[in-house]
Amino acid sequence: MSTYLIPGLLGLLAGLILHWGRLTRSAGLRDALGLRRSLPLRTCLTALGWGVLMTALLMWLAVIDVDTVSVLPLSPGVLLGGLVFGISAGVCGFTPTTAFAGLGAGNAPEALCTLVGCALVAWLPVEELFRPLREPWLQSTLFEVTLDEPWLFKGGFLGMLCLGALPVVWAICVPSPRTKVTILSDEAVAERAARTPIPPAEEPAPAPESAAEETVVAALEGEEPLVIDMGLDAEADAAGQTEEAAPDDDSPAEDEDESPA
Amino acid sequence: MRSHPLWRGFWLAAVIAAGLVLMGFTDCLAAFRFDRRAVAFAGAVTAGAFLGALPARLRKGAKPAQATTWQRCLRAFLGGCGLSLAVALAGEGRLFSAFLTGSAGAWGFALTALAGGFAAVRIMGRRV
Repeated sequence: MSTYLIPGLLGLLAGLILHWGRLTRSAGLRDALGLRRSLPLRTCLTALGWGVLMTALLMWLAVIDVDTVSVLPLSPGVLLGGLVFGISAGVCGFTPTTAFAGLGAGNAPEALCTLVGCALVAWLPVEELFRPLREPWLQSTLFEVTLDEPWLFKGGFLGMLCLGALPVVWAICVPSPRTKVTILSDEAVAERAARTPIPPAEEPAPAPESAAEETVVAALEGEEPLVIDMGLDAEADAAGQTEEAAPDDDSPAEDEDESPA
Repeated sequence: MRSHPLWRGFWLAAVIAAGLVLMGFTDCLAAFRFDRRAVAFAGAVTAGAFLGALPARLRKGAKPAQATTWQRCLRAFLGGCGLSLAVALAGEGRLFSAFLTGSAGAWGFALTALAGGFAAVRIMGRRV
């Protein structure tokens, strides 16, 4: 029963969190691999960092038996495999685990194609072909965390903790995703302008200097000048305005246009 | 609390660490070798992601965000082949567990994978 219960519960939680971290769609992992400021990048960095931190802590507390830790030797096959793995993940946008999650929540056809490809090569006997590439160059851990295996750097579990803290700090420093700005085409701008009519601008109050002869200008002390148009004859008024307005074209509106600001 | 990316990563790491303690691994590729625990884990990952996406699907309807074309499927298939091939090259299925425990080979694998993935994504362009 426990063979299925514990992996089942952990798998359910992992699937939920992968979906919340937007890693179930291929674009999410591509954003993270491309180091683009995005939620998947921050989720991946913090998951890696916290994962190393927690594992180091559990090993230090002897919850994880350090004798059973498998040490993967560094070899040409490992480096080449890493390169192929990264390129493949960038091409398809999934890792095996996120492909299973994508089958449930993302682009299911693409995730299914990824899993079919994984299964096909996993069932082929290709592992033996690459045996010469797996001659170990270096079999050690980064820090002294096991009893027997050699290590590269001093520091023990504290070194692992510091190493795990680096991706977490990186994730904190990654700024939030940029606000998406949509640049509209000229046609779209014209269409929007036609849809919402612009209200006509209010006519500016006539300046006292442009007043006609029939106009009375009342200037009181401490008050703005008050212009009263008597308007005896509409035609004479219009003719008078054209005559008077011509030399006074340096209206405040034009002054504003010519101003340095 | 789940809305902050730092917490999402924290809970994901907690699940991975629990998997390392309770199961000894957290790799889904073992499911293709019919490891019973890996099959259960992989199936539950699919179910969990489905449950997580269910509220949004009920609200919006089952409309895919991007249209699936045969080119995208072919790319996904080739990428999947590459993923398995990479693990066969490395010769060890439990790479992520080895990474967490500080194995030098696994860190070399992770760094070259990051370099390869970065180059692939940048060359292929934005969101293919």
